[in-house]
Amino acid sequence: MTVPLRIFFVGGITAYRGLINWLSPWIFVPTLIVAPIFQILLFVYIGRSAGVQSDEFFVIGNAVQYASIPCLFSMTHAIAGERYQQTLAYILVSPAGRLPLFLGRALPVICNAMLVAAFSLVVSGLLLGIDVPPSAWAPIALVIVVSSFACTGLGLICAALGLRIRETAVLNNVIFGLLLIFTGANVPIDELPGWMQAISNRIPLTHGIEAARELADGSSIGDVDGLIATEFAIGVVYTLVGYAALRVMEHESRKRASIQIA
Amino acid sequence: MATTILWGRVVFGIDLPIDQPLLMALAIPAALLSIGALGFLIGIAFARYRYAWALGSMTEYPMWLICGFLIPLALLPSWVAPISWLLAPTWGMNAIRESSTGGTPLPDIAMCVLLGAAYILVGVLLTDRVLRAARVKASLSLT
Repeated sequence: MTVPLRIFFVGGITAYRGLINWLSPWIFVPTLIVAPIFQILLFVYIGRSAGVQSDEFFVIGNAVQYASIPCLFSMTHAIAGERYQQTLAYILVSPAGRLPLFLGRALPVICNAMLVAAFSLVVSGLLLGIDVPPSAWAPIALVIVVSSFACTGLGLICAALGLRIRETAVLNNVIFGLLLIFTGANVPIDELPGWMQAISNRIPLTHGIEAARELADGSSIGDVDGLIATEFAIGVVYTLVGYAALRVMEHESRKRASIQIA
Repeated sequence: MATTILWGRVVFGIDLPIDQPLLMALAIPAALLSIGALGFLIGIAFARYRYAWALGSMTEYPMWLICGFLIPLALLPSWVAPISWLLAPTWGMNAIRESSTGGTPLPDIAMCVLLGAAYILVGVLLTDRVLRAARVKASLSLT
């Protein structure tokens, strides 16, 4: 295996396992298995109470949106967490290529996000009796993969910010709340004010959620390929911006001697 | 709570009618204290759980759901009702709604205070046991 590939795969998974204590079942089960199911149930019942939208609307929207928890929190911590471990300086001083070094940590995050979204969708779908055609499951799985990738790009930007600010958990919580509204997970995009729609169309998850809903309603993958391609393109842009921001922040933290947090 | 109400009023123009201000003034602290008491009980009960924050994170949505903060309890399956009745915030929320709409909040306030006091009592009784168990197992501090 070549050095960049080893840094990407082995380094990525090693850093992820070392930094993300969420992989402990004592954290993983309550926060990434149980919590999304209750988030979905909450919004389904709010929808029933208000007499708006179908159960399926909320199940799909919230299941895909919950992928943002690992994407934001894990991605941020997989890089910015090194500051707290006092290990960031050792990594930055190494001659390892930055691209495999940073992006390698994104791959386990994407896998984790896919698992969370897929599990939430299947379990809440079974609990609430959502009728999704069997032929739609494979395309929906593809949408989840693309959406997880796109949102991990946003996580990379948060990770870059984490090289400057201390309270990344607060930042991630705020972004998670904004995604609940702006991605159309719980409110149809066309019912949002124009300025919010403009933002919605430029952030991860919005197009993925829309594609997953259309697939569940019987559309073929060909009908939603534009949405999937847009989601992927948004992911590429956010990943590139995130990577560039990481390089800038790395440079800035050297200048300001703020690489590590005492 | 005050910030949220102000936010709703200023940004979204939501009016909060208060039919019985005095009873509302009783219901709000009763509800808030009961939520604090429930937090105290959970905090004590899970003091030896290394990742207690994850439990807090997990219970947030279920509490909103089964205490009737955001939806009427009648919408939930009937087996949920007895669980809701054991949770003081359910009664606190009822009391706030009743005082807002001109109902009879006093029984709800009484139940809320009673259950809150029970949580504190159980919490205090548990404290000694939990601390003793932590000493016996040398797990007072997490490293």
